[in-house]
Amino acid sequence: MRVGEPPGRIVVAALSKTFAGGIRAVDNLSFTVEPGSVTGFLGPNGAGKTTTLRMILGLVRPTSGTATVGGRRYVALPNPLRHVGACLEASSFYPGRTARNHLRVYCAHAGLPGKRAAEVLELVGLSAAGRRRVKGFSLGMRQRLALATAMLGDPPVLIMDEPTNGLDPEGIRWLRGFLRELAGQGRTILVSSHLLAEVQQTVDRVVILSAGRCVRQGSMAELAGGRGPTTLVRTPQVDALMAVLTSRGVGLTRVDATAVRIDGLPVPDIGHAAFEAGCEIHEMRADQADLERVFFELTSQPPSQPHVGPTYGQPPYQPPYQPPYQGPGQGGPW
Amino acid sequence: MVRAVAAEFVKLFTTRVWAWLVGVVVLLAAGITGIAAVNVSTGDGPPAEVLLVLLIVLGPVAFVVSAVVGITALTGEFRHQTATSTFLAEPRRPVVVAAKLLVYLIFGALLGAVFVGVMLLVGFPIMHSRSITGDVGHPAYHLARIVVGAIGAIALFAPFGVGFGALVRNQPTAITISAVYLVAAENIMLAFRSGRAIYPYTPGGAAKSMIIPHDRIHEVFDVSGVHMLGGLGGTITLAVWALGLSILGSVVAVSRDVS
Repeated sequence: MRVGEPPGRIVVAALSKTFAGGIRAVDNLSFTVEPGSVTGFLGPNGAGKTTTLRMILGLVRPTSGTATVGGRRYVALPNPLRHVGACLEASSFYPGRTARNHLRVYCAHAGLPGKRAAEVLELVGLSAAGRRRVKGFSLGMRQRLALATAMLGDPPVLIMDEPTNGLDPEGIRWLRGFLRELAGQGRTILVSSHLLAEVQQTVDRVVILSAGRCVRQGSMAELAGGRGPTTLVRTPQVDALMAVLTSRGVGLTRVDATAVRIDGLPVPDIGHAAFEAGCEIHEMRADQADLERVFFELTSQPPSQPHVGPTYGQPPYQPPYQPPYQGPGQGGPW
Repeated sequence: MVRAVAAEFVKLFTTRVWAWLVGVVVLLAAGITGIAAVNVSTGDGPPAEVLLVLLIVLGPVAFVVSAVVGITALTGEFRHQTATSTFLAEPRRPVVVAAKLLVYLIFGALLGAVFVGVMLLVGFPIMHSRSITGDVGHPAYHLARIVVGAIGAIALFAPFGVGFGALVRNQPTAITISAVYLVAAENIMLAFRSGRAIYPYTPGGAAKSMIIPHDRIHEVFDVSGVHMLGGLGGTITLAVWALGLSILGSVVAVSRDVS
């Protein structure tokens, strides 16, 4: 164990995995996840997210490099369930076993009293289904049971692979609040997703993978490039508006015959420019799809050098007007 | 290791599989022993002799049941993808395999005790009611030896199955191979000179050595060219099979990536 390593810090260093047949699933990947934060581990399907998480958790052997939690490899943790909780797949249950008995198995593994099973079932809202066999569970219920399993040892680190799969909007909203609450307690949360929009309200930082390599990591603000917002404006006089804004050096992109995406200019300034140009405004809103567009741009290109921070050299873009996280009970993406 | 063993016990007894298996063993032992006890005559020997013959004939079936129990221990984890959760809870995989070996050895002994116990409880009263009584040689010694040997052999086939399952991982394949091997292949082996030479060291051959008292071996299992081991030799041989397969399975198969 490294001296002074915080118990919740995840460090991935030069991690690579080549499967049989020469398939390079993960390529020289390095990143750090700090305690007290929610980190989004993003990338399209096949980017190497699951393989990386499984290497961190000792299920897949790296070809080279290391992955540690609190300075130790997972296999060297004395009682792993008390250090790291993991939700990897919602189908890894024996169908004929009840939810409570499933949890009792892992209570025994962790040396925990059997009553802990009832506590975590209540934590994830499954108390009423505790004596039901898992084969009758919906996918959302299985996700909750997987989360309950992960929380059994009250671990300082939580690793989740695509946890929203199968959850309904209410479940997603609940999970969003749950993760923020856990991070607020100082825990380390690493959550993978193939959709940035799914996590952008919840995560503090992102690590973005493409073809097994890190193409961007940093805070959400860094991902947004430190630029102003992106606004979508719809007007019949789109050419006039574009002319006014272009003359002021504002970055913009025509979307279609009646819409333009304007980069970095606050909404009042856009309104003033439209007024000056005599444009009739039919719609003006924060472009929610902007970060997702950046994400697609990042992950659709062949990866170059791993990068930290906002100076990746990507096309200019602006963060959307996303309100900060507002806790459970809010709708929309989590 | 203690926690892993405790977890394996919880796993085993929190499904209905164990109850079904015990039920199958009870029906199998009661049915066939009952039929045999009704049909034997005084010329077939005393009850202990009948029990011995039945165990030699039925033994491979009980061995298969016990082996299948053991096979499901690990192959079931891969089939239902619970191996992921198990190896997250105990990432030292040899510890998981060792815990299963111990737990399934105990459960195998339970199955063996049920199997032999039902044979005694069903067979002996029927034979006594038909005036088939008495025994040859040293009855108490033979009967106790037969009972302990049979329970031990059936018990050891469960960890044998654990090791075999660790190696093969695919449940239907592992069950099919073990059943065909134990019920058919070992008997076919006896038809060949080279097969007869190695038969005492096979799992089935070692198990027979555990069941048949050594001084009766040439009377009960008289196959030319087969030099059976003693009870202790058979026990050690079968235990080595179970341990060897488990170690090989741990190294080759269980250490594979779980993805």
